Amino acid sequence: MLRQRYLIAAIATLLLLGVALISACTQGNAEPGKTADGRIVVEFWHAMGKSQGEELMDIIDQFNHSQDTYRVEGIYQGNYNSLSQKLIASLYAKRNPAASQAYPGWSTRFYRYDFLTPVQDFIDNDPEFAKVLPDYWPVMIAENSMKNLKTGQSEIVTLPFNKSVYVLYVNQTLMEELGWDEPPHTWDEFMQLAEEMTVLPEGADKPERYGFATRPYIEDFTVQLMSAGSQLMNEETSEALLTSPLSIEAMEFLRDLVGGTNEGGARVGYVETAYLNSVFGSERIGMYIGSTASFTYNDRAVGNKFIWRAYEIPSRNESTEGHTLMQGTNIAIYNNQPEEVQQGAWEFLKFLTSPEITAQWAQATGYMPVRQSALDVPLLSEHLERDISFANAIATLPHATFEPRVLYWESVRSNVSRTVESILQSSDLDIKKALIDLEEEIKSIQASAE
Amino acid sequence: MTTASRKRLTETLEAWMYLAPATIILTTFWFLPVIVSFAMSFGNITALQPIDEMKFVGLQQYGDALGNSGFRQTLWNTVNYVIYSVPATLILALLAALLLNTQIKGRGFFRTAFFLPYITTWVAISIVFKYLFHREYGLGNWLLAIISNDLFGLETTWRLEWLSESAGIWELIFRGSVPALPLGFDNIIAGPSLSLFSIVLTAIWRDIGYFMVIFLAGLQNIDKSLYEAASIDGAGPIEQFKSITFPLLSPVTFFLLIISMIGAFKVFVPMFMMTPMGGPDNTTTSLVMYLYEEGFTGEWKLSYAAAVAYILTIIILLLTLVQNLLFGRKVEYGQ
Repeated sequence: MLRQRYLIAAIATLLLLGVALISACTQGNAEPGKTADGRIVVEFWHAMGKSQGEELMDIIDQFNHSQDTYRVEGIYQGNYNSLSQKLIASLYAKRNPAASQAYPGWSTRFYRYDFLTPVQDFIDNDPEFAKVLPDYWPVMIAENSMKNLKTGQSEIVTLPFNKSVYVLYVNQTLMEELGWDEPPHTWDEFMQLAEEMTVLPEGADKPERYGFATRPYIEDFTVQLMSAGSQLMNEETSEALLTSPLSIEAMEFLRDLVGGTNEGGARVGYVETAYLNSVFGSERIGMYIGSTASFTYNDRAVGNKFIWRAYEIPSRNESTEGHTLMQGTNIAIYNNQPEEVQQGAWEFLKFLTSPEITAQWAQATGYMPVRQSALDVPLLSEHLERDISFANAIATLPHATFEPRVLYWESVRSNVSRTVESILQSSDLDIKKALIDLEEEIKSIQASAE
Repeated sequence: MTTASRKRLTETLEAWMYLAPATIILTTFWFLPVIVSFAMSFGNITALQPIDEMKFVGLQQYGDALGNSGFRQTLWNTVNYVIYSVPATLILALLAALLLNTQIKGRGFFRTAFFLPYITTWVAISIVFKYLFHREYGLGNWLLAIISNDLFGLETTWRLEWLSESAGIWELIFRGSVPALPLGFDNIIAGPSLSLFSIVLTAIWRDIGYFMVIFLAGLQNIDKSLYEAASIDGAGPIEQFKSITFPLLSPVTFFLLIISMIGAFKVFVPMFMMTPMGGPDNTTTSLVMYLYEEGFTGEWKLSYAAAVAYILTIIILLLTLVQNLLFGRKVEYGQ
């Protein structure tokens, strides 16, 4: 009796396992979905939460109402890190979406290992679209183009979506009180304003307000480097440009900004690992450099306490043509989906980057419009008349540039950040030597990656 | 076939059937990943790279890891975490167990209270402690201010940057009076960064309860007659502890030492939750967090991460062997 009962239990367990296995297998073979009314479902994964997510969902709704062939389903994946992990896992399991947001670094990997349909393929079959291509900001198209390893030709792989640029945030009220009617344009002016903004109460050991603060990461160094007209790395030749005189000068300038003292002997700036909008809002600092993604956070932190403005980052001197750093994600279309689904993704992508929609997106979120003609869309042009900071930020796009797109970028990134952090944390570290060591590290990263 | 051998066959089959569910699950989720990741650690594969592109590179990933300053820093952080959390937790848990093994009033309540942190998830604990360690609004700085200002009458205005201070705790306490030593010795003297130490404090608070319960079980297994005999012979409480409690608790202590050390080396969640960016100057990145960052974010260096995982395994294995050699023989089993 007892043995029979055991046998039954064992068989039941096996059956259960079998059912689990079968259901797991059948799910993998599911046909591409269609809605009840026969529309082709196009899955789109993103990492836009809160108000940005709502705006994106609204745009998706507009697309779904604008035609009756496709239905885009926007799926929020929590944050960029989760999105990248879920994408990679889903690509292994062949359960990936039709399209998703993707940072240039991710698309480099997806493209290199043949998981993407380059949007160039769609553009080549879409003469109407080819005509409007020059309307996209050239820097964005450049960032979205990569060299095809088989043909050796450069082609557009993805299309830009939520792009931001780095700007100088200034406490405008304070700046005007100090008698400045123009923002600083050069490093000298920048330093001078930072010194003037610093306030050290008598008897205190720390300033009540610093002129400037920075985070100790790669971007904070990169923007200074770019404002000196240089960059971190030559993407074509993979040559690191860290030990150039300009590079050393940029690093020195950044350290002086946070470590220097003003006439009264007060320290002008400091280093902070957290986001800077809250200390900016509480008037603990007068200026900081950050991406335009901080616009809404600044508004929240500052409230009615003072007026803040965003300006182009000051250049090394009057004769340098400085660049600013552009970041943000693009949209990628995956090649393992049925053709009709991919076509649906392409139609959505065109819609998403059309002048009216990108204007709506920019106006609502503070991201850069991806098309130049979006500036003529009344919704945005009227908004820009009121929002000087946003207009200033958009005005930097013609001379914006982007981070190198190499597979080993993340290693470079963390090494550069580490060095920047140690240089900024200690006033006596030999900058030139630290940058030479860093360049050596980058060379060994390159060597082991190739 | 004889009846006996048929019976044996059925019994064997039956045994296999009972074992099958666990075997299938363990093979899929345990043995296979262990074998595959071991093989991967000798290659050079990153995520999505086709498997046929994988080259055999021998021990290169292991060498790269050992030569990498980021790896060494995180190994050092992890060692610091182990050194500062394991002994302190064991001692405090033992003290708590000794107290709660007496006829103290409300001991049921205290036992529960001590054990509660352990059954709370690390994620919730981390979020709460992040608030406690907040520079402006945290309970930590508030308490320090009360102690220094109200108790000692000092007018301190400084606040500790609990979770964003990269200076070592001893360096902070004896600021300026620590000699600068070459060969990285000042790193040892400076101690773990205040951020790492804050995480250690959190871990101690959480783990005391679990260790205490096991110590309690051990204490209650000690024959009461031994204490009676000892007190007749005139042994005081300290003598009793030295000669009876401690030796007879040694199997439990030894067990706890080993599992807590293994657990501490594998620490991930508190660091990941409380200092997601790896803390100031990367002083709170643990080895497993480093492995996660290298393998599952950024460049997705799967082979490298696998090598890091096996280095960690080897370290834990060696240390466990050393502990066994050092203390294993001194453990008293049975009476």
